[in-house]
Amino acid sequence: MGDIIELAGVTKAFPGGVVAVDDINLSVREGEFVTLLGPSGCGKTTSLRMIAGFEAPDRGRVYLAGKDVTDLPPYRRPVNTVFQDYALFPNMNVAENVGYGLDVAGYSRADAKRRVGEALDLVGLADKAKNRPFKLSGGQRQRVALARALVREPKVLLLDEPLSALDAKLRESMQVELKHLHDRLGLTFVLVTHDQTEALVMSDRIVVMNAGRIEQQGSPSEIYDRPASPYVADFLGASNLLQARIGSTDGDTIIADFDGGRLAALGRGYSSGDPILLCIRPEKVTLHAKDPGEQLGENRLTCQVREHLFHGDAVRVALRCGTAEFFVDVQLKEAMGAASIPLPGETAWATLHPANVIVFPAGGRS
Amino acid sequence: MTLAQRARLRAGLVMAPPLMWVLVFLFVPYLITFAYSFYAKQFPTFVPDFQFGNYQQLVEDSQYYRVLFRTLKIAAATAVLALVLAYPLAYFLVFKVRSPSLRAVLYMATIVPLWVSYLLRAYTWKTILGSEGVLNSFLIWSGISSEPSEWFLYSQFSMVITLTYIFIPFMVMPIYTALEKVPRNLVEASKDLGVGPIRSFVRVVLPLSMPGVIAGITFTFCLSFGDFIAPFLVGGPDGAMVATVIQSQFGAALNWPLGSALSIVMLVLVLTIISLSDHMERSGRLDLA
Repeated sequence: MGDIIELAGVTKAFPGGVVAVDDINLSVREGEFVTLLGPSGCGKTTSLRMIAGFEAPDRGRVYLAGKDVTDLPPYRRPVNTVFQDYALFPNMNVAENVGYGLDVAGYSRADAKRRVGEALDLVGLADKAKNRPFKLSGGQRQRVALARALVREPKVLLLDEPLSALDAKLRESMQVELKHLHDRLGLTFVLVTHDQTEALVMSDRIVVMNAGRIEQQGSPSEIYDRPASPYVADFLGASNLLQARIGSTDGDTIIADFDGGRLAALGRGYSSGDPILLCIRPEKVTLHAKDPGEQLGENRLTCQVREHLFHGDAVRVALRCGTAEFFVDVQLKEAMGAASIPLPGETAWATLHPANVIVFPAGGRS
Repeated sequence: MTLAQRARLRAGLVMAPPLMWVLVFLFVPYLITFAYSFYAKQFPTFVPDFQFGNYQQLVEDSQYYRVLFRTLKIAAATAVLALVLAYPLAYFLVFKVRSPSLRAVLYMATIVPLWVSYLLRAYTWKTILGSEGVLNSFLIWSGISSEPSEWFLYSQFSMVITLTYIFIPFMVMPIYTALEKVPRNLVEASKDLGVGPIRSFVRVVLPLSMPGVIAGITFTFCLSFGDFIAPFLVGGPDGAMVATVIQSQFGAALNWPLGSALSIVMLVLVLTIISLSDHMERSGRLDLA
C-alpha cells in the first residue's frame, strides 16, 4: 500500500501576506484515517482545500495516488468532500443531491439509481430520498452529505469539520459511526477538526498543526502520552505546565526544581541549571487526604487545596504548591463521593510517577 | 385602560398613517379613474354615466390594441435585453471580483445613474443615436456608411435601447442580491462532485438566482410598460406606447373616459404580471440557510 496523498513542500499565502500553510510535507497511506488537528488559523482547512483543489498552492506539489494533481481543478480529482455546513443543494431533494455527482460520471440511469439507493441505505436515510434538505435535521443533513461524497467512490474522503454543527450527543455517536464506516469501507479519510476528542477517538494518525506548520504527528496515544512540545501537550487534553529548572541528572532520570518542590522525571541530554517546562496531565496525579509517606519511585508534593470544580463523573481539584498552581482530576468511583477529597483550605498530598512528568526544554518552540 | 388595550391603541396609531397614505394617494385615485372609465364622451367634454362604450372602443378600434401589443413587445424586449446584459454583470460582481471595496464601487457605478434625472438619461441617447449623433458621426467618419441614418433614432430599436439603459439598475439589483445569497460552498460542492464550471452554473447557481431574475424581469417589464418619456423623446411616429396614448387622451384629445378605460386595462395587466411573478418567486423560494 503506497501513499495515496502526498503534500510535498506545500506553501500557501493569502492576499494580505498571511501564510496559512508553510512548507508542509505530509504523506497519507491508503486506507488511513488521518486527522489534521489545530486551532482556527493553523492551516488545517487550507491544507484540506489544497488536497480537494479549491486552493492552489503557491509552492510545492500535491500528489493523489502517485499522480501530480497540483494543476487539476477540483472536478478532475478523485476525492470528495463532506463540507462543514454540508453544502447540500437546496433546490434538489435528498436523492437528487446524492445522485448529483453521478450524472456527469457516465453512469447509466439505472446504475446511478441503484448506487444512490445503496448510499442512502449505508447512511440509513433510504426513507428520506424524496425530502428536501431543509426538512431534515442537522444529523440527517450530515448523512446526506456523507452519502453524496461516498457515492462517487472517491479514492479519498475529505471531511472538513463535519461534526462541528451538531450537538454534543449526536457528535459523539457520529464519531463512532464515521470510524466504523471507515473501517468497513477501507477508504482513506482525511478529517479536519479543532476538537481534540474527535481526533483522539477517530484517527489512526493525528497531525497537530500550528501556525501553518506540522507540530507533531503520530497515533493518538503517542500524541497524548508523548507530546513533542508544550503546544501539543496543551492542545490535546488538559495539562498543567510548570516552569522549572534542572536540579540534578542521573542517567535517564532528572530532578526538576520548581517553586513548590522537586519532581523526578525521565529525560536525557539536560544539564544542571537548564530551564525546563514540566507538563503534568491532571488525571495522572493521585490525591491523598493523609500523608502517604515517602514511596520509592514516586513523586510526592505537599499542596493546599484551593477549590473543587464538580464535573459529574470527576472532580477537578485546584491546588497550590508553593507559588505554583495546578489542578488534578479525581474520578468519582462507586461508593466514593466527593466527601473523601480534601476540602478547600486543607492540606493534600499529590503523588505521581516520574514517567508521567513530561519535560520540555524551556524557551524552545511553543 | 388595560395593557392589551394600550397595545392595540399603539398598534393602531402606528398603522394609521401608512393606511391613510395608501387610501388617499392610491386607492381613491384608482377608484376615480375607474369611475371615469364608464363616463360618456360628449363633445367638447364628457358627462357622468355608466356604460361600457369606452372599453368597447378599445376592443373595436385597432389602433388601441395595436399600441397595447407594441408596448408589450417593447417592454418584453427591454426586459430580455436588460436580463442578458445585467446577469453577466451581476455574476461577475458577485463571483469574480475578489476585492469587496472594488465590488462596492462597481455596484455603485451601476446604481448611480438612478440618481441622475430620468429626462437627462433619456436625452443622452438622443445625442448618441441622432442623425448628428455620436453613432452616426462615427459611422461616417470610419467610412462604414456614407450618410447619417435616421433608423437609429425614432424607432422601436432606439426605445428598447433607451429603456434598457434607464431601467437596467432594476435588473442588476435583485439579481446581484440573489447571487450574493447563493452560498459559495454550493459551487465548491458541485465542482467537488466532478461537475465542471458551466454545468455547475446551470444546475446550481442559475436555479438559486431565479427569484432575482423574476424580480428583475418584473421591475423592468412593468416600468418600461408604463413609460411615456422614452417614446416621446426617441420613439418617433411608430413608437407610441400605451402611456403616450393615455396622456394624449387626458390632454389634447380631452377624452378622459377613454384614457381612464385604457389606464384600467393597463393596471389590470400590470397587476396580473406582478401577482404572477410574486407567485413564481414564492414557489421558487428556497431555504438557503
